Amino acid sequence: MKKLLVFILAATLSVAAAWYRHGDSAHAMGMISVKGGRALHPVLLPSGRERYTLVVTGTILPPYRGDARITVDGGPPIPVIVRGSDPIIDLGLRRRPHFKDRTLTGLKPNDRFTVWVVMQPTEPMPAGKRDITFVDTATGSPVLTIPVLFGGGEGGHHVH
Amino acid sequence: MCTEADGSATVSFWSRQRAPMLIVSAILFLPPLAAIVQLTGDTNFCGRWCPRMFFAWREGTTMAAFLMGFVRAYMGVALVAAILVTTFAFGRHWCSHLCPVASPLELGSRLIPRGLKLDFSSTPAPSFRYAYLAVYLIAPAIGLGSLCCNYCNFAAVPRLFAAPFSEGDLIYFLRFQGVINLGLLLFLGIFAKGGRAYCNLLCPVGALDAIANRLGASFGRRIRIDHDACTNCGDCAKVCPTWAIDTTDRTTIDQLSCMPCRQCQDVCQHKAISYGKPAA
Repeated sequence: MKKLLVFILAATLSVAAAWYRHGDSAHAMGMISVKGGRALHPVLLPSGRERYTLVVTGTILPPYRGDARITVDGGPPIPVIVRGSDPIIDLGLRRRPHFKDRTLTGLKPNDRFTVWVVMQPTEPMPAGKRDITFVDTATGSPVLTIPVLFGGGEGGHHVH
Repeated sequence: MCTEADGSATVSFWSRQRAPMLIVSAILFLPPLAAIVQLTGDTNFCGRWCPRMFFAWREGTTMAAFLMGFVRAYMGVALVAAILVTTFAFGRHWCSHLCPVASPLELGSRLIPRGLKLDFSSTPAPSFRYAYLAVYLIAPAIGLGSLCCNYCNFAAVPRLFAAPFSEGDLIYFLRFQGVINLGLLLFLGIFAKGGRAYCNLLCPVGALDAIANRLGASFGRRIRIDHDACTNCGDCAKVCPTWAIDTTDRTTIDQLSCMPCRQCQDVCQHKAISYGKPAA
């Protein structure tokens, strides 16, 4: 009986944990390409907060090579921090793209990247759409655009 | 620890070397060095080394996209396959001796005064664990949400070590989800008696590994009890970090929770516990 109760309790807690999303963060996945890339996940966040953290992970589709600068576009400008995920002690075992000054450098086909984008609006974020855009520094063309939709209430689930 | 006939104490090699092996594994897999994951150009377990995401089907995912997940996380797939195969034959040595994300939790818990430790041993671990695993697998498949990355020990532990050096990793914890993950690591890890409550309740890799351990118990090498020698004293149950030993009627080991840490073997005064194949 105790085992059954624990199973039910754990399942209930787990369902609640899987369903509920805290509104200050999300995960987006995308693919950088010369044709403008593709966002794999729609990002939905509640409006009205003053800090959002988005982790963006992705891969580079052939034949793209180059450096990509990350910007947040749309709506009034807001303070944005972008951080990369370089090794703390780089042993140089494998070539990998690097991150500096909002720019992923040395991107080559099949590379993977992770960046953290922290948006800190000075006023509660109004409802609306922003884009996290990866722009090729050589051509100025977008190589990946990830829409971020602000709106709706706190909690609830969105795609991964 | 075991006592020889002459009164001398013996501790098995695998027991003696467990903490050093866990430390070496943490150094090799976790930041700031993370040498093993750097072999593939990664910095942590997210990405190619992810051992948790590839087997969780999401609503709307095509078979091609699902299989691409295996390709994307090929090192994680290889790691999990190796863990399951070796566990089937030899028991859960990955969990007990090698897991870099369990390492700081268990070793950290040894530094916590006994009076501050939380005892979860009254919780029937398999019931909790497999309810969690069921939701872990079913919730994303029916579009209910995901436990995968949001409650991830393989994401949180490496970032815990990287955070002092890297703002990108520190950011992980400056979110509600990061705070919850940190709380789980502390509450179910470092402050838990034995340091293994997170592993025992919430690790999906550990849950799969435990199934392999149970399925191979009739053939492979496991921690076993000699019931002729056992006096049901209960000393073994007191030191088991995964509360896998039941002494209610006679002493039994639940192979759905046991890992071959051999702490029970070391404390048994009667040499009733050993590691090996089942008796013929």
